[in-house]
Amino acid sequence: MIPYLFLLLIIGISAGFLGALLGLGGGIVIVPALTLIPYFHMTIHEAIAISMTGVLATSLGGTSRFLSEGLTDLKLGTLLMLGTTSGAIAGSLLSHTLKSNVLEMIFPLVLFYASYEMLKNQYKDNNPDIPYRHPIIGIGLAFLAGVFAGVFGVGGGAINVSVMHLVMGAPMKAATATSNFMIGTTASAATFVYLLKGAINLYAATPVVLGVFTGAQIGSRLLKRINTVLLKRIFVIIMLLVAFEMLYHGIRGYL
Amino acid sequence: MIGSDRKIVSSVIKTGSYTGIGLLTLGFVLELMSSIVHIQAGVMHDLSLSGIVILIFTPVSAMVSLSVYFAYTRQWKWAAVAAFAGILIAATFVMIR
Repeated sequence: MIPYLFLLLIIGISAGFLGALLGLGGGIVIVPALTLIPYFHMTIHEAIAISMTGVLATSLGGTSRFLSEGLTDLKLGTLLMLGTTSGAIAGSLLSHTLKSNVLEMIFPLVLFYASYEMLKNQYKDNNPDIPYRHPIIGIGLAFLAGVFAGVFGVGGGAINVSVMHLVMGAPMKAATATSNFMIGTTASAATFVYLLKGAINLYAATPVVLGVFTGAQIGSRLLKRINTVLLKRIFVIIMLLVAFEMLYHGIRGYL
Repeated sequence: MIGSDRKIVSSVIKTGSYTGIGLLTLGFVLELMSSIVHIQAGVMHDLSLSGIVILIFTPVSAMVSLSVYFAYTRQWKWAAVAAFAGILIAATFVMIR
């Protein structure tokens, strides 16, 4: 029992660290770890429910620190939340009618393009003193991020960070910190629903959440000090991994 | 310099998250101790459940406090944006089922 709980704690710490550092939530670590390691005997649905609770803890652990350091832009986050939240509602309502295989092919293309732009501009960072541009386009793209998140349960953070940094002109670290704040609200709604359905295994979720919160504290401390070029490169690697994984699923669905 | 809006939201998030994490930690410690001493299983479950419920409502409370802050400082445009975002979030609680 004790090794089982400690392994979950370690998975949580890794997910929280990476999630807070990149503004992605950490689900991309938790879900594969819980489903692919046979020791846990978990189904994908159980893993996703625990992962959502983990994403919530990443957001809370990271945001409290980012706010104290002045990295989170609450106005930008609130504005984009209009897009992501309405997109998540639309996505969840349309998830049965939308052809998820088609979306699974489109979503990686968006991530590939964002990765290319991120690498092309890896040595440049935006000036925090210049006001953000293209708010309407930003909300529109955030809406699409919300639709993807509503349909697949992942990917909102990756698009939000890219939109804030590449389209709206937010500095990379501010975009990461603001995305961390934004994902908390959507994750709280999803966790609430999973909890009502009784889908959260509290025995396994408790160490994961504790680990994620600790990892997010460490990751958020590192964000202030990390080199922006290195941060962008790590971000691109993770985005490409998610894109290839989704593309693989999309192609497999067609075959 | 950290703005007052950040200070308020930060204190709401810190209070909620540390309370929730505190309850989860207590549940986890009792779970570890249960192999040595007898502890009623329901206690650990209730502590973890309460911790997660507090964590769930922390971001929502942060949004409410942000909206109130904007209204208090007469930033009406932002108060409206935050209130609308809050309504959308409340809608997700009901609709994503």
